[in-house]
Amino acid sequence: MKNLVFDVNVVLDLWLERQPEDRLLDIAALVSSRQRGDAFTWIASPSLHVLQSVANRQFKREGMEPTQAKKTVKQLLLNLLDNLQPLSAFGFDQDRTLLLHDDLEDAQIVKAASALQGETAILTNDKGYDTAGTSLLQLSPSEAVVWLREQAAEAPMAFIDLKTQQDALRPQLEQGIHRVLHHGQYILGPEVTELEQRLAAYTGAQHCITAASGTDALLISLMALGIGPGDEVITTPFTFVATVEVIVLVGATPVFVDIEPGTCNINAALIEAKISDNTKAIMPVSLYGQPADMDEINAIAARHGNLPVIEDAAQSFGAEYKGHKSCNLSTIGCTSFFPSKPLGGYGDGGAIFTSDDALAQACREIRVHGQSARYIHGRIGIGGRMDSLQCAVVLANLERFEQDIAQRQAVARRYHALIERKTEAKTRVETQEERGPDQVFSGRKAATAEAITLLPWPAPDRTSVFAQYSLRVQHRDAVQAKLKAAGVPTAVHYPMPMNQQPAYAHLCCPECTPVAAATAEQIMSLPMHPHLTEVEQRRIVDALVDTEGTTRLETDEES
Amino acid sequence: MQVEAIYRQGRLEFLTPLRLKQDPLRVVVEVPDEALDEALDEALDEALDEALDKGGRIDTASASSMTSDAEDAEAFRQAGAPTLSAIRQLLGPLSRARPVASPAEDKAALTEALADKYS
Ligand SMILES: Cc1ncc(COP(=O)(O)O)c(C=O)c1O
Repeated sequence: MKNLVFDVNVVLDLWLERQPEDRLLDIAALVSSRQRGDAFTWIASPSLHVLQSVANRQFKREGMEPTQAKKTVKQLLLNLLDNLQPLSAFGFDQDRTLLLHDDLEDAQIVKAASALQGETAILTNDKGYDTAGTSLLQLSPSEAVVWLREQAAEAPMAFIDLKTQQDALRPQLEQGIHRVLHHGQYILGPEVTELEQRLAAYTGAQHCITAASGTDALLISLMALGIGPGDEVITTPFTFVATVEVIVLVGATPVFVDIEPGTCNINAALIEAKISDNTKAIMPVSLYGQPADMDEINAIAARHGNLPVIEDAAQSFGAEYKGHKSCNLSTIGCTSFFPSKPLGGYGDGGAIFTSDDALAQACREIRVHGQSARYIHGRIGIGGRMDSLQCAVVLANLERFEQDIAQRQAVARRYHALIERKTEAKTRVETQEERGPDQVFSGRKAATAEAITLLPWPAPDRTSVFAQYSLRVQHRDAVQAKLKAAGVPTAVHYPMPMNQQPAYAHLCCPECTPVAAATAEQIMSLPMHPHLTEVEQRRIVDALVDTEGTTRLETDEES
Repeated sequence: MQVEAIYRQGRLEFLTPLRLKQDPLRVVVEVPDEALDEALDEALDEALDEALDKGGRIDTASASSMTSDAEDAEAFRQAGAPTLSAIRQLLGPLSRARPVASPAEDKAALTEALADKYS
């Protein structure tokens, strides 16, 4: 989303009604455009006292009693701050180069505006700002009205847009970070406790223990369960390496069970066959943001001596399964706050969730070197704490989390609908072209439809937070290259199952998990973030479905 | 109310310009049977409708073909009405048209205000 920084002159135009009615309405519409989701709107902090002084003076000169003038101006400022967010003027920016400018106030506004991540314009009538060396625009109100409606259609597209998130939450982020600087409790400070309480309440789990990363959260969980050499942990080969790595790190052996083609999650029906006397835990992954079949998995675990189940929910925090939140679906749930995750920080972080008091206590101790009291180490542990600054960032991002999830789901729905519609239309055209216009459409699947396969929409008993929007494509390299040429970034989650990775290949043959092997060859992720617009999605889908020559089937089914 | 609209290349265009309180807005459209080429896949349509419903607003670039630029600009302008009237309410008797002032004049006014304050 675009940023608009208001200069004093424009705000005074509105307050003092110094423009014709149409112009005043335009400025008022720009002032309130954040509420309508049209722009992020700002007033630089150094402008506030200027507004106050000039408006005050004007009203007093018009004969208003000074205290009344002050009161009116205060109300106008409060009204302004209901709409525009104050933009920080940092002390460290007030340096020699800034002071060299002829107009300090203007230079401060330019400096403050430069901190914003997205496209940013200063809203000004005379465009007298010295913006050299910045990418800031200077626009009059009428130009800004047009600019806001223009889509940055050919701008480079982000696979994940963390810039908009930062602009959306800048005041909360700055406040949270400065709060930590102020109190100085960098390790296990109040933000850590607050985040743990908020997240436990959010998931419904009794305990939340933050950790230095999602990987550490998984590692600590395995250690707390006492899993070690000689033990086996059942998991999926189709995951990020951390899931498997931690099992090996504690000395246990990962036992791979193949995945379901629809969800790419572990196939619960195949788990039982892999359970042995050495099985000590089951570790499903809720991939791409969608919970695995947790009821079935928990039931299998219960049948085999109450095996603990650890949900690797690094990608699925916020998702629901039968009315319960991911991370609160089994013995332990672990998530990650890696920046690109649906709920992310600006560094590493993770969390463990459990409703088992003893396990929670063990996790807390292991997180701090196995310490049960100061310098008493009852168990072997690690240095695995999440720091106060990262917790402050996640707390800020938590403010928009529900909204972000809803937007991610809307984006995914739109992808689904657009791709289905487009492949359908293209299939029809291709079939008609092949058979001649007078032949009836027979429903035979033509090239496009077969070249792109959507993963089914999540079953009604669960939701996905769409950490990724992934689909299957034939000739993936060619499709990715074509999309790249069209300015659309893609990624592959994941190109190789863990049982084919050099470090883990000895654990299980690739043919043992054929669905994972086939999926790794075809899976591809499209850009996914809460701020993806319909226009961008149409551009992506057009490029995806129009990859003629690369997505056509080489063989004709009927021949 | 019933309004006439023209369907062209996947988009509906109202013949009478309307200002709507809600965007996007779900509407039911009557399509003459004889105009139908082929039965549309119902599931697909539902999915698209739902996507547009739940996806919140339709982006201005795709919506712009439904309305003209002038209509869009007018709609944007009118969205400022509540804010402008709130400001006028705060101003009370001070609400009145004043002559245009340039940024330079505002800066001069600031200098005078500061001089007043510190003298
Ligand atoms: C499935 C899965 N497990 C574990 C992790 C590890 O999380 P982190 O990167 O926070 O260590 C990730 C994230 O990258 C993941 O996607």
